[in-house]
Amino acid sequence: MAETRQPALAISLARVGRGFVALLEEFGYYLALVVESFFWIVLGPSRRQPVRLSAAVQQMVEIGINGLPIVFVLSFAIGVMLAIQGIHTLKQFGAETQVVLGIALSVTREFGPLITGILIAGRSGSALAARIGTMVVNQEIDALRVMGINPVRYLVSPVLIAMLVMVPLVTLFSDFAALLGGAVFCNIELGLSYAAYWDQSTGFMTTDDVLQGLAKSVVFGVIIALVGVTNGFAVSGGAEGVGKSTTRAVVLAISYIVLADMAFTYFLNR
Amino acid sequence: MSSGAAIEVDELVTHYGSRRILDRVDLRVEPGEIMVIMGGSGSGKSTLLRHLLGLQRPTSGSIRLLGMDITASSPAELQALRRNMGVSFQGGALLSSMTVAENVMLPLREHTALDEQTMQIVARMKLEVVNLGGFGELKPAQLSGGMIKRAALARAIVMDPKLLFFDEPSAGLDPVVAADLDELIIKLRDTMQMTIVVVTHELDSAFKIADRITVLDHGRILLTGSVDEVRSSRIQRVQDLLNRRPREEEIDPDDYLRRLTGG
Amino acid sequence: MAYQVKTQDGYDIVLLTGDVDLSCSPDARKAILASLEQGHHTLVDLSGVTYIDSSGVASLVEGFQTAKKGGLRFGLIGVSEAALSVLELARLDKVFPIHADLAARLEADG
Repeated sequence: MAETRQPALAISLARVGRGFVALLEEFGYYLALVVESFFWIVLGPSRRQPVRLSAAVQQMVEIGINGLPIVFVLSFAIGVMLAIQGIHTLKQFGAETQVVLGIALSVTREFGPLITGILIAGRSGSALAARIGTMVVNQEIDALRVMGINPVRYLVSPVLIAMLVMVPLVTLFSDFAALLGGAVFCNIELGLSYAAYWDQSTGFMTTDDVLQGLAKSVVFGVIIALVGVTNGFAVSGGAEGVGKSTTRAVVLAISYIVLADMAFTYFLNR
Repeated sequence: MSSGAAIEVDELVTHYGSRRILDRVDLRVEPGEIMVIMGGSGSGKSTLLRHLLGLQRPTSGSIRLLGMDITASSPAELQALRRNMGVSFQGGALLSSMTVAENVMLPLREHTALDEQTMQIVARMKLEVVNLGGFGELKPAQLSGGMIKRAALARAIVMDPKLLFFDEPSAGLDPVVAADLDELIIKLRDTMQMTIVVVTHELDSAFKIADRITVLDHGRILLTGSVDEVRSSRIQRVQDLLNRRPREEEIDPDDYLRRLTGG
Repeated sequence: MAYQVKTQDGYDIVLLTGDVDLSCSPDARKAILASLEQGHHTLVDLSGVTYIDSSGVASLVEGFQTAKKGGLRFGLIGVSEAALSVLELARLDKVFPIHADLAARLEADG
């Protein structure tokens, strides 16, 4: 009420300031959550409160295996798209065959990790926020706490393990699917044999290219886990709150993934 | 346990933002006693329960459970205490991803090194105690409201706790099922010598099971006493609650006008 | 808790004393199952038990089931008031053969 009498600039400045503080707070929370998750993974067993491997495996299946079909389809399509664009562009220089190099590097360094990250954020990040959010609303989190079961150990650590394992693996799978897509299109358009395509690709690519992609995917995995879990825990206000948090989790996770990707690419290519 | 009380709350004050929810609440529950915390909605009884469970930290005051001050205890101490506490939440709060039997077994799995076979027998025994024998393989979503409350009770008592907390046992149940649950609460106290705290707004249930009743209103304790003492209390607000009379508040015209106009 | 096993009148008698709780019920369970695995009729003497929790009762249940499978006799003797009320809560007093002592059991066996 008192605020309305302040000049507009002060109000918007205050808003920016508050937003910035909230953002810092959120990142601080992410950091604390990572530390606590790893604490339980490493020290849980000696405190007789281990992180259950079965829970992690269940999450791995959910995150990785169940997502493979859609990852394959989209990655394959990206491979085809890169081939189409590449051939179209390079034709002007009469250098169509160089397209293989372009596809190989773009896929392993950029598109494989990115498409995998975005897909897993959409599939599993939202599911994670919804699952934990529903548990908050149903007092299941409170129940865990009063039973002496730490929710971070019980719910977050397994997800983090699963993400750290599965996002890179699915990224590798996505790399292959996209390269296959490129190969199929080059075979049709340029008459390039699969063997030649494979030889050229592996000839151009270094292990570094693949590792760079995988390093990104590890970071993406952590982002998806943290953003999903945090938005789940932050749910208030019943079913509607769960819906809002789920949406927020997906949008934020994808945004952070793209921003992290940009930063990554910038620093790794200097 | 110096004082001998199972639960001892001293001068508990809590705030939600700047609003005071509990105002200098004192409460003492003896071992083996069934204490009912009663009050209308907004009385602060749920907040008091959350503090007793260690789910929220108070602004000031102390809460001693089985002799340990949970407002000043380490996580490890609290963890140890929680093995001696069972809680049955209003909505059951069973983990929906697990079967009923797995839910009941969860505390055993997390806190004991018992043989799998032993854990299963204990879980099934507890389901028998709450008359849910044979329902262990169902998921919580397949149970009725009364069954969920009983399953939650089975989980709450699976570790044979010394303290049992029960949030709104009869809310949303038909009278017969609610009466069954009341019987069960009394039976548990009699056979297991549990100290039981029940939070409820249901008068019939409260009068039936309580050894003593604490009446909470606007975050303050109006009265703590036996069933008869509460029934015969001359405090106007207590009688209003007992007779389900709506609250008659004094109106400050200036204040009221300000609230309406937002000025 | 402590336990000892003695053999008398064709029975292994597992005598439990003290508090039978989470920390020691696995030992009681092992002792009971060990006697049964050797093919001995087994009685569990609870007269020295000050407290028995659900895991202790579960061990008795498992013993009884194992005995039935093996065609062996099983039962409880010297059940204290406190132990009995725990059994009653889960209606197990109607399941176990319960007798005051060995003599009463032998008489019932005929």
